[in-house]
Formats: sequence, C-alpha cells, structure tokens
Amino acid sequence: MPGLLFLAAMGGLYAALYYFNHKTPIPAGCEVEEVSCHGCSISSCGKHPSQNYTLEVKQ
Amino acid sequence: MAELFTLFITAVLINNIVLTRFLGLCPFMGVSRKTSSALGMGGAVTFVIFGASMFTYALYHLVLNKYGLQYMDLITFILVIASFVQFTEMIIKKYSPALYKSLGVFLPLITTNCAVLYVALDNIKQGFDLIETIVYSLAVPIGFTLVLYLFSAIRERLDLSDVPAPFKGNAIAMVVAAIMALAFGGLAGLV
Amino acid sequence: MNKLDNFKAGFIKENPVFALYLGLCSVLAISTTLNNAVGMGVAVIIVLTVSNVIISAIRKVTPSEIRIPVYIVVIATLVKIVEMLIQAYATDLYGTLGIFIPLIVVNCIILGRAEAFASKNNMLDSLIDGIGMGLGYTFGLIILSAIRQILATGILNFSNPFTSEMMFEVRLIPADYVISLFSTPAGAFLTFAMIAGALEAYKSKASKKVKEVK
Repeated sequence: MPGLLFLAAMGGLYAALYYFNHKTPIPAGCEVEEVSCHGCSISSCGKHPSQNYTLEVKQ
Repeated sequence: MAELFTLFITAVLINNIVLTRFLGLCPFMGVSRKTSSALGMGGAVTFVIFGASMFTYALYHLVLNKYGLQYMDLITFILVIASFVQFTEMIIKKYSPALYKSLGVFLPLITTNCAVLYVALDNIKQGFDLIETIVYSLAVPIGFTLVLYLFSAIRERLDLSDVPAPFKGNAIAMVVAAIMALAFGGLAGLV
Repeated sequence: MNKLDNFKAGFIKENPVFALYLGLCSVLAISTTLNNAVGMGVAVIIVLTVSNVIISAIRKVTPSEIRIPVYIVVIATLVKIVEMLIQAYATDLYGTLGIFIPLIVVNCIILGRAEAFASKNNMLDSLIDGIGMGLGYTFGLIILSAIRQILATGILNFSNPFTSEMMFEVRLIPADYVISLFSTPAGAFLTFAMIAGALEAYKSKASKKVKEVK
C-alpha cells in the first residue's frame, strides 16, 4: 500500500512537471534552430517529429 | 583523499562509460557531428547526471531504505530523473534563453540516456557514501564529455573524407569508436 | 499480407539494432556470449510485447499531453517485474546480465515503438509489432554474440538458464587461433560496424535491383 501511494505521488509529480514544461514556450531567438539529428529514431527526444516540436515564440 | 582521486581517474579514463561500458551511445551517434554541439551535450549531461544522482541518492537513503521499499528503486529513479529534466528545462526556458539555445535542446534526449540511470543505480549498488557519490557522479559525465568531444572532432574530418558507401554515417563512426576504445584501453595500468 | 510485411520488416530492413541503431547500449554490452544474448532478447521481447499491448489498450483514455510519463511508468513497472522474475528463476542469468536488466527501461526501442505504433493501433497489431521488433532485436543480438563468441573463444555453447545445464557445446576454432580482441569493447564496436556495413550494402544492392527492374 505505501508503495502504491509513493508510486502515484512520483508519477503525478512527473506528469505535472511534464505538462507545465510542455506549456512553457520556447524563448525568442531559438526559432531558427535547424534540427541536426535527422533520421534519429529516439521518439522521446523533444525534437522528434512526433513530439510536435512547434516553435512558439514568446512575445 | 587518494581513494577519491583514484575513483575519479578510474571513472573518467580507465572505466570510461562510453568506451568500456557502452552506455550513452544513442546520443553519441546523433549529436557528435560538430564539436560545439558535442560540448553543449556534454555540459547538459554533466548537469543532469550530477543533479539526478544527488536526488536519487537522497531519496533512496532517506525514504526507500527506511520504509522497506527497495523494490521501488527502478521506478523511483526513472521518475526522479525524468522530473528533474523537465523541471530544469522549464527553468532554463523561462530564465535564460541564451543557455537554452546552447544546451536546452538536448535536455529531453537525456531522459532516456542509459548513462544517467546507470550512475543512479550504480551509486546504490557500490554502496558509496555522500562524498564518493559526488565524485563519481561528476567523474562519469566528465569522461563522457571528453570522449564525445574527441569523437566529434574526428567525425568533423571524417565527413569530408572518402568513406566507402556502405559505411558512411554510423558504421564508420563505430569503427572510430573501436579504435578509440583500443587507445583508451592502453591507459589501464594508470592507477 | 500487410501484417506479415510488418513482421518481416522488423527482421532485416528495419532491424532495430543494425538499421535503426536503437538500443545500442545493451546490445554491445550483452553480446559476449550466446547465453546472455538469448536471455536478454527474451526479456526484451516480453517487455516490448506486454507494454505494447497495455499501451494500446489504454490509448483512448490517456490524455495526449502526458502520454510520455504514462508510458514510462508502465514500462518501468514491467521491467521491475521481469527483473524480479529473472532474479528468482534464472539466477545465473541475473548474475551475468546484472545492471543491464533495469536498463531495459531506457531502451530506446520500447519507448519508440510505444510512441510510434502502439499509441495509434489496436491491440492485435501492437502485439504483432512488439513480437516482430523484439524478434528482430534478438536476432541481431544473437548474430553479434555468436560471431564474437566464436572468434574470441572458439566455442559456441548454450546452457539452460533455469537449470544451468549445458545444452550443447561445439568447438569451431582451435584454441590456439582465437582472437581475444573480440571479447574486448573494441572488438564489440568493430563487429557491430562490420555487420551494420554489410546490412547497408545488402540494402543498397536490393534497392538498386528494384530500380533496374522498374
């Protein structure tokens, strides 16, 4: 029982941080970053096409 | 003091994490095409490994050991590492665009880097105390950065030379890694 | 036929080890003997298949923004269960594989397939894809380990992981002619490079033939 609670707490913390990070826009001046790792298949990387690496510019 | 120095040199040169333990190879192939990106990746990895090792060490000894939850170590460590990376990336995005430009883009890739989880687990497995953990968690990524930098310098030149067609790209990089492993193997009798 | 093509692609054309360069850390470190290769391969197949099925089953209810955390929790739980099972039932294997069983969590293949395939297809397709990719990984790992073990020690042997009895042992190269370089890290990198280069040459020849026929 304490293990499950601990797991839920850690998982919740990670999910919350991930969500907040996803919402934080990339700072201005980094839009023209060309992706230099073409064809890499590591899909958990932030630059992978499946991650919707959109360049939201902070106004 | 002497044991700490031996630990440091062993982790950087003799038991180098890339060339002898084969960890941290995935970004090795992708990021090592230019020396500037290699240094950025190395800096990011050093920061993540050091920070995540501190947190996982503290969490293991203060929480998991006390309440008999040692079987949760794997899940806890990977969640701590991932949370730490997300938190760091968020802070860097908000407060330092210059820093984000140079090393922020590599941060999400480090979450699934074998080396980070390996150092976190190894600190526990080898039973280090706090000082030894600090030394080891700094030495391993310094060794990684060293090899990554050398590798990228070699690859910059390799991209301009005449490589046989089937080996272009990653296969020739592996041959370079083999020769580097041989070279570093000669340092085995250092300490 | 589409399912069969998916399955076959995981073996040669899109072999996760030699064509996609995923999961390299564990492949190079484990491939010293055939025993280790088969043990690790089976563990990866189990984790990959079960995680694909579970993630495919919950794909409709996971919020899209936090899917990576959910996948990581699922995979980490599975790996810990597999590790404890190996520790209990195949203790010799646990001794040799050591710290690389927990490192299956960060094996790029598992998270990659979960993200690219299991989150978008139904359970049966995900199951087949998991088995196909896992078998491709194991296939690559077995080839690498067999070559390294034969060249470095001359013997090819396999023992039952649950009872530790030798199932077969055959000497292919006399003991005086073995090249012990292949049991070192340098030999691992070199063998991997040769196999990857050979696969690339085969793929380019195959695509050249297709172009000529057209």
